[in-house]
Amino acid sequence: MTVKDLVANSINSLVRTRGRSMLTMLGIVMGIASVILILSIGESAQSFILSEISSFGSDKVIVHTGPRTQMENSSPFVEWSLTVDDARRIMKEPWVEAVSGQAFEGDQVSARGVTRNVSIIGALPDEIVVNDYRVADGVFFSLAELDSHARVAVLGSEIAEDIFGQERAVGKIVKVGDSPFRVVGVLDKIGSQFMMNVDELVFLPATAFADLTRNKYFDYFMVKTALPLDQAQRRLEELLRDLHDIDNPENDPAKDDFFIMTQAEAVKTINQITDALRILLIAIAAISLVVGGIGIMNIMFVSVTERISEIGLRKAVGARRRDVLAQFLAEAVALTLGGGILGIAIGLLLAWLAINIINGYLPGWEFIISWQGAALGAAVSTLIGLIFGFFPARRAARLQPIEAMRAE
Amino acid sequence: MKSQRTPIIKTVELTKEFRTDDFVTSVLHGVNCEIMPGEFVAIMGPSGSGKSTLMHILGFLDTATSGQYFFDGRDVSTLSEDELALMRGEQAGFIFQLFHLLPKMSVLENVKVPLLYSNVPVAERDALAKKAIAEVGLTERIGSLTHQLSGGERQRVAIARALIRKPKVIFADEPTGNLDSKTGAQVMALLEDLHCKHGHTIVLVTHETFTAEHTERIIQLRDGVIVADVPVAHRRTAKDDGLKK
Repeated sequence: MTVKDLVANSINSLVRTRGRSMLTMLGIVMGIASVILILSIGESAQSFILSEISSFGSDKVIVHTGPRTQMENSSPFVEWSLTVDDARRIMKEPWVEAVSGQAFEGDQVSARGVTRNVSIIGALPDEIVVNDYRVADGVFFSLAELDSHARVAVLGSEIAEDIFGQERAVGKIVKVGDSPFRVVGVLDKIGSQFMMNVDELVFLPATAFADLTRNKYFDYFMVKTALPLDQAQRRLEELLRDLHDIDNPENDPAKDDFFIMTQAEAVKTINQITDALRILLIAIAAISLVVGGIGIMNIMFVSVTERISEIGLRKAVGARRRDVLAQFLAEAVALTLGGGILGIAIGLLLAWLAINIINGYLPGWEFIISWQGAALGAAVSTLIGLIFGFFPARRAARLQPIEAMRAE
Repeated sequence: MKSQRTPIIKTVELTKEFRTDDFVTSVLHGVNCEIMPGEFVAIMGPSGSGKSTLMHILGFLDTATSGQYFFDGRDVSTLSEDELALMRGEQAGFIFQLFHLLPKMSVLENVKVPLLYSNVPVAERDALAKKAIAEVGLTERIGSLTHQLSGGERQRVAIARALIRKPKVIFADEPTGNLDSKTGAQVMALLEDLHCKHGHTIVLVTHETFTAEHTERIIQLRDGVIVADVPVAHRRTAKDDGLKK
């Protein structure tokens, strides 16, 4: 039998039993579709996160609160350790160009009868220097305002427009919770950074923020420096251990109450996390592929039993074992590969829909066709056909022609 | 008188036993026969006589338990399964009582099935099949699906399929067994016609005397041995069956 004969024959026989073929394919379709969906969204998520991270550049290190072990084995008990005093001390180092830091709290902001639930950030004056933000109107608050616990606020562009519309926000009073703050600046349109839409944030001096929320700890500092990052990291570790009275000459990360990450390290960590997640999700999808494969095997056995007389006839007119084997394997592969291709199409469609929906909430996601995933899907579905089609096909091939002819 | 030419079929002490776990059923006990090229032979016998089993062995569909089988001078009793498949494809054409056409396929597709397992180039297959279909007089039904055909037409499709690879021997297992007597007679007339025109060797298994009388020679089988092997004195013709010719 030529390959062309095989293909034509198997497609023919699937079309003849199209209702059953479709149902049998369903398991494979769903399995492959979920693999493709996961891979596509995974790739989009990864590239989104990486582009967010790359925006903080290679001249910065992040000082994170809590020991490194807390990040690696995440626990609800965060050890808060980074204070405004730490920030002031770091700023004094001659090799430090700028320090930013953020403490978060959700709260209501209101003015002119408009109220919005927003994220309030307790920040440092160099926030815009470190992040390269531009102020559209007014100024960012100063070190003096930080030191004096001044009740001033800088608004993201969207929240400013939301509350004040076309009117100028600078100079107006907004209420954060129940306390009045004077708007000193409005940021340019910035978009999403570190998974947050900066345009919807309200920045307060960290000192005033602590007065308001009783939260005096930062989640992280970002330190901009001209030093090579490994040197900067070493100096920061020494400085913070000194400030926090930590005796840790052996560099044991478990002893510190902070840890320092560079961009390269952050990228590595993110990749590890997304890879692990992907493997987990694919393992789940693989189960549905195995279930689909067993469905294929089942239906192929039924098909062999139903077509014993056909097999006998084919053997009587000259088909060898391998011809019959090839025919039934080709039919199984046609089923699974057909299902696989359908699954790839459906998976991509779902991924495209999902990413469009996500984009509505968190702009910056891009639909990426995972060619790797599509190739994997096609290969896996072919393989499933070969594996699960083999035993039914072997049974067909081993039938004796005369036994098979009697079966009608 | 036959010794000048090689018999197309020659068996020597052919036996066949069917074994199950508990017991052995012996079906053929030493069958010796010779069939010359161009002969039209009927194998007759009551049911259980072993006539079908003998035909299956002669047609490479089954193998003998002991004894030898020479096809066209070649010992085929020791061939492997793949070699037997090759013999079935190239040397034998089969016609079965139940036709064994593939469902939901057209007449043309059914007739072409044996070519799938041949070296005949795809481009030449349609022409060969059309020729075979014309031979059995079904040209106008070439595109019909097999379930749309009458019994007689189906058997003619099967005959066309048996002819397509130009086999040395056509084996017919009760070819009229599933047909009414008139249609059966038409099928026999077609076989006779093919035999006369092209000199096909035909081995036919039947339990009906009037079917066997269409052939030239009758081999009688009873309880697994040949009990008679005689030429047909007065061959039945299409005219005898009341078919206008």
